[in-house]
Amino acid sequence: MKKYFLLIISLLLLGSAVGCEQKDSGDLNFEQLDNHIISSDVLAENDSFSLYWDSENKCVLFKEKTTGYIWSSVPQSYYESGAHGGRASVVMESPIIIEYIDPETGLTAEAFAYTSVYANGSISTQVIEDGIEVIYGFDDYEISIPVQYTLQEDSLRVSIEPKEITTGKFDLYSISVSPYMCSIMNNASEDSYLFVPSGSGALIYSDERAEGKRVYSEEVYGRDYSREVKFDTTNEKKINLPVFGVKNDDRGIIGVIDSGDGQALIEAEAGDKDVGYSSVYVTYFYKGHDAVEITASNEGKSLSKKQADGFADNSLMSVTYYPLEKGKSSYVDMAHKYYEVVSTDNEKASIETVTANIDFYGGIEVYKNFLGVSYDTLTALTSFDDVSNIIQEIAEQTDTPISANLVGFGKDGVSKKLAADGIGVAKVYGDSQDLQNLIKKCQDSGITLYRDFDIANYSKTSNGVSTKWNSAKNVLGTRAYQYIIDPYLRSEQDGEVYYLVTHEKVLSLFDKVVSRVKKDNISGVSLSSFADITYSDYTENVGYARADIKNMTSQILNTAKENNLSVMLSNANGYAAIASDIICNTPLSSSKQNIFDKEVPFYQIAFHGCTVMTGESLNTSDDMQKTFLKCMDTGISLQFSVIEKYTKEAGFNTDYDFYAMKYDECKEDMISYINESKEFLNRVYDSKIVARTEIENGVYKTDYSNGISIIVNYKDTSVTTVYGEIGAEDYIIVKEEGQ
Amino acid sequence: MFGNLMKKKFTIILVTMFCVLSFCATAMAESIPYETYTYWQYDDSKKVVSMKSCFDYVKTIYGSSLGIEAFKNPSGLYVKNGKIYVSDTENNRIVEIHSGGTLSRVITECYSETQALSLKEPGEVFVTDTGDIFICDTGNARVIVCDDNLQIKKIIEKPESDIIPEGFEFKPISVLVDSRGYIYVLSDGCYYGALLFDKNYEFDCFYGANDTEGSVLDAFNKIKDLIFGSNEKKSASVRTLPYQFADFAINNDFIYTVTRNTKYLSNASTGQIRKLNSGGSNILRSIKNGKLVTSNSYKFQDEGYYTGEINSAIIIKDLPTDFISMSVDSDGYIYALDYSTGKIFVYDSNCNYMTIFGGGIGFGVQDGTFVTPVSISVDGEKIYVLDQMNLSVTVFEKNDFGEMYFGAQKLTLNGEHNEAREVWRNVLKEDANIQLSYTGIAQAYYAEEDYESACEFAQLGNNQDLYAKALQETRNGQISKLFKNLVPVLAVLIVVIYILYRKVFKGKIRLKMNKKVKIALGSLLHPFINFERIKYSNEGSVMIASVILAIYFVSSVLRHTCTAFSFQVFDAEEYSVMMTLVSSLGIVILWCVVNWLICTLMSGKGTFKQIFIATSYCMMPLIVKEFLYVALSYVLVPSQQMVLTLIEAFCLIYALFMICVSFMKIHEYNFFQFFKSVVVCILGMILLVFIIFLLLTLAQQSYSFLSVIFNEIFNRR
Repeated sequence: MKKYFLLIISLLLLGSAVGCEQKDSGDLNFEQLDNHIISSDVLAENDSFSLYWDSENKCVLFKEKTTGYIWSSVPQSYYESGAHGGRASVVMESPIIIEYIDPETGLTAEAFAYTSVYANGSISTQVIEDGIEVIYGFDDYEISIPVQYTLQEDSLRVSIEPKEITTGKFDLYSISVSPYMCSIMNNASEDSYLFVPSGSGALIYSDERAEGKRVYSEEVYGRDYSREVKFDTTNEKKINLPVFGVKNDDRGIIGVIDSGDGQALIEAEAGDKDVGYSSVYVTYFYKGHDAVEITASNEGKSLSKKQADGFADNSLMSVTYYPLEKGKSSYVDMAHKYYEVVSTDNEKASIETVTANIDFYGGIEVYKNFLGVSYDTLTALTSFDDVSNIIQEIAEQTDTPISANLVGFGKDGVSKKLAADGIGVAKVYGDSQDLQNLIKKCQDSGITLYRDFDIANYSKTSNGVSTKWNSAKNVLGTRAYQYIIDPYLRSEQDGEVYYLVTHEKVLSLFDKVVSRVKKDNISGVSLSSFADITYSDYTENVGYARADIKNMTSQILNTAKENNLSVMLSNANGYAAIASDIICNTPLSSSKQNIFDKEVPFYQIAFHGCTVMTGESLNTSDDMQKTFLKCMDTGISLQFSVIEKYTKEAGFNTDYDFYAMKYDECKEDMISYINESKEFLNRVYDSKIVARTEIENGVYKTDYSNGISIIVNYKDTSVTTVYGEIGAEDYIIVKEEGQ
Repeated sequence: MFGNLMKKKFTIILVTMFCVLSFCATAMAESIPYETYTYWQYDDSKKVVSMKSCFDYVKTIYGSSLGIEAFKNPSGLYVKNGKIYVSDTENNRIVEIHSGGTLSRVITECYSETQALSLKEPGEVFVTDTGDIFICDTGNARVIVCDDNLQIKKIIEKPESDIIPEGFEFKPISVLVDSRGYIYVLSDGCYYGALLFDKNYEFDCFYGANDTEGSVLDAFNKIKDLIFGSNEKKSASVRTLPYQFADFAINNDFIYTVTRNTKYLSNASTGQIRKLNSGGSNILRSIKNGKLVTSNSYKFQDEGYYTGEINSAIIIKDLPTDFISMSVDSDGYIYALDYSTGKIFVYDSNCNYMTIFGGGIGFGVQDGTFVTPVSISVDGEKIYVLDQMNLSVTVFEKNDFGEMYFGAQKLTLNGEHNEAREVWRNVLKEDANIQLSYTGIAQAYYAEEDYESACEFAQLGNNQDLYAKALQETRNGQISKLFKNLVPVLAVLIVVIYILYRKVFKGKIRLKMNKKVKIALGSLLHPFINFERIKYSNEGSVMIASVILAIYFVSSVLRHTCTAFSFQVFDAEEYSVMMTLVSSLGIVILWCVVNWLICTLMSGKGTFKQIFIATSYCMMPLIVKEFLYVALSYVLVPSQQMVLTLIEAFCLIYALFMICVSFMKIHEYNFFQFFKSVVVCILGMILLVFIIFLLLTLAQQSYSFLSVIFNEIFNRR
């Protein structure tokens, strides 16, 4: 017994000793560089652009041949202004800024190339095909980073191969690339702005304010769900599209994060008096990371950043900058350029109009009691018969194409208990005959019917997805617990957790979903959560694995297409949106951070005419009329969320706004809005948005490629425009002659 | 009369107009990027529900947007008739802003006939109906009273009075003036309440101090120290002082105060908001179990605690709702600002939660959220919040739904139930989660004497009191009907049964009963004889005792789960059958074990089997009690609770009597020995429970210790 006890203690001590080691010996591969800087020269050129190396300022210049305009990591106007020195030089003359982890404290700190490479480090350059590779050596921190600048057909690509990065004593945490490539001088005109893709999109002006500089930072695609989150102070719209840009009067440039987007942040700084410039740029996390509680006391807990070990599968960090044509540099042009860039391989032949999509919510699990023993049971809020009747009523009274989506009709209702909602349908909604009747009614009425599946979240073993073996792992190698955050107290309260399906299992789970949908003869499949959230999975020690999601989504969409299924995605991220048949719940606003000066419908402009989109649900929004106007403004379809029966238990459900979904209470508005919008939406659904202008504060004119325009007045007073008077919170439609 | 009628109609028209126009003429205001919610309150419970937003974010005003230097550590905000006064403390100025968000003027000094007096670190401002401005010139320890042209009328300084304690520091941070011209000054660090000055600016008294809280233990310790404490100990003893007001507001000459509830400084978790009459007494009332009670015991806060973070590195847990400022609108709705989270809590004059919105928890980077909210002011339909760290004033405006909802509750509180009903119907149409709408409609039906509908809506709104009142009215009608129809039928039925029994079966029906069952049931009516037979003839049955215990447990569960709504709101999610198990079977088993252990030492003759059987048999009156309670709860209304209480008391006393008899028989005790054994048993039970808890805690601690070691090793890989 004593022997066993000693053995256990020895093992524990050994484990501790190994655990206390700061870094894996495999990472200690840093070697100081020989300073080698090639002289200034043309590195590459094509008909439109040329790429130069400026050895004096150690930066790359990207020149438009026709106009002679130069884009550079250090703005040309900065050099011309002669306002060098101080913090401005440190920040603006650093083509790369890193954050490293202090091994002593576990906290992060910044290092700038200007001070840590040019002054106290080393730099090495070498010419490569179509460009140059510059290796920045942060010698004080024993970190070196090779950055490749290459000229593309109409763009400049800046990329970092993570495998080539070397580190020593310090861990590298993040890398900000060319922070001033997309920048404007402070206090530029109102026609100059930074664009960030927060939610629908937002603009930031560069004015210097007495309160100081404004800072913005959000993760592309939102937070990595594999990270442990026990509290969340904000309720933000995420970044759906990996793009950012700047408009400088009649010039503009966008940066598209074409690789490593899953580990990227988009950051912006505006109105910094010390620097004199405002900019937007991308920052990459070097590895997967999480915060770990390392000490505990009654008053608080310290956090430390933990990085994932190994990054064999880490994807290239790459951002490509596309200068926009002179005079065509607005956010509308940025959106068109973005779509042009990402749609190359995914061009769609045609799309079909849908005036509205209605999400029908099936059921919720409620507590019941038998002799004091509480148990969960599924209660139907909407049955198949209810859906049939509602669809029939709406179809009869609107006579326009609509789609319907069955949400939470699986075996666990709208809860996240079973992977893919248990795949089958629960009997509380009706028998299979009822479902077939519904499907037939939809087919007869020309309504596309979707059924929604949550293939990402679950909390109970089912359908071959085990909570123990098939749940995604976090950076620590343990199961990635998803705590249920109380939306009111903003923190985890009752200890309930759910899990994320491993990347490996998602595909086989989707195959089962497809089989079931085919068997039921439903025409489409909706994946509300999958295209909305992204998460890493460190199950196989593959390093930062969020990039996998792109490939998985692609495979899922291909599987659906092979089976002739339409795909509906909700609030889809860029990589998924491009290939879906209908995108629901597209963001109608930004995350409303106080740094933003204006919200713009960049998301809708980018995909309009290429994919059918709906806005946020009208009947559950705070202001139905305003949500309706936003849909009309950008020509996207209407979205409604409906239940047939409201119960107190449904009202107490904190995840869904069932309190505003009862069909009887909202049907008049639904029918009225659909009828009001159908003619306009059916005419513009396949047209591109060619221009959007603010006629006056709160009044916007949107022009479509087919010659139709809509002028929307969001104000609570009527306005008179050259197109006529527009009532308060109203709109007018203007058509070109012949329309 | 006619005037009142016209007023009512006008109100209805106005509110109805809001309902009709709700979708066609909303203000141009942004929706807010955070949750809006409220609480359902019933049966001492609170349940959170989402709700439609009542206030829209309008704009944020910065110093820079006014074309002046940024605010610097602003500390106070006051708004009247659209004019906003920001106390820009570290800039030593008051910034006056027009309602449109443009600069009106910057006040840095006020003028007397002879000189200009500069402001130093000014606190809050108050403007009277006549236009006089009262400025708390905190840094100069004075309140300046001036007219709109800043010509000084009076300067209020530290009063000379016997009431003012020695060493009192006059640091005015907030000021109010009532319609009689009485001035209330809040001085920082003053625990005695507000300083009250009369209309001649003469100091009158301290007004409305908070009460100090003390427990019996505190009192005991104090007495002990007084008698036995040394002089050093006496001088070192801590004096309990009342918490000072964080802020106050005035409405209809009533002063409303708010007290903070921080994690470290004070712990005022109830009665944070008070409404004081002229005598300084709290007259704010909340509804508790259908009765209006003082707000002193009311929890004005979220059900739960928040978690915050400092510099992305330190997590702060268990932050309570901490009101730092408050305001009251002309309809008596109370707006309280939570410093911990940046949320705004709105209550009606009965302390019902109207809505809760806002947020940020120290990170408010979104529109309508806050980093360090310090002051709130309400003017008409607009709410203004000052954020000290973000150097801004945020403006919210009541939206159409808010107008409708607040208007409906106002009608209900004014007793205009009939007028309120249609408005509540429209509220429900947009948001089915509003508890007050069900109650409002129920009250309207009750006033209309449609008691069945009143019952229906009262039950939907979990309003037991109203339900019971309506039920009682319904019962009055039902009982008279019952007597008319059922009594003759019952009489005929009884006669028919009697005749059948006597004439047809000739009295030959006899229940064949097991002997042991007979003993068990007999112990209820003849405890002396039957417990003696259990003791000496071994005629007790463990199985029957177990069945009785099981029935006792079931009856206890039924009492919790099946009692009529008018007596109890059952929440399946919250109910724990384990608690019932512990409080019924657990106590019986514990009693049996301890009694056996104790009585073995006290010359008791009973075996464990006999103790178990006797105890179980003694539970029969309690079973009767539980079943009767459940059954009668459907017949009686809460006003007839006395009947149930009497039945319960009788059954309980009878059960105690049976225990007394049974244990005297089983252990062959006299009454005195029995009494002694019971006292020792109770102490033994307490000791055993304590040991069990100790072991459980030890096990938990060991588990935590091991899991920390495991995590430390695992996470440091």
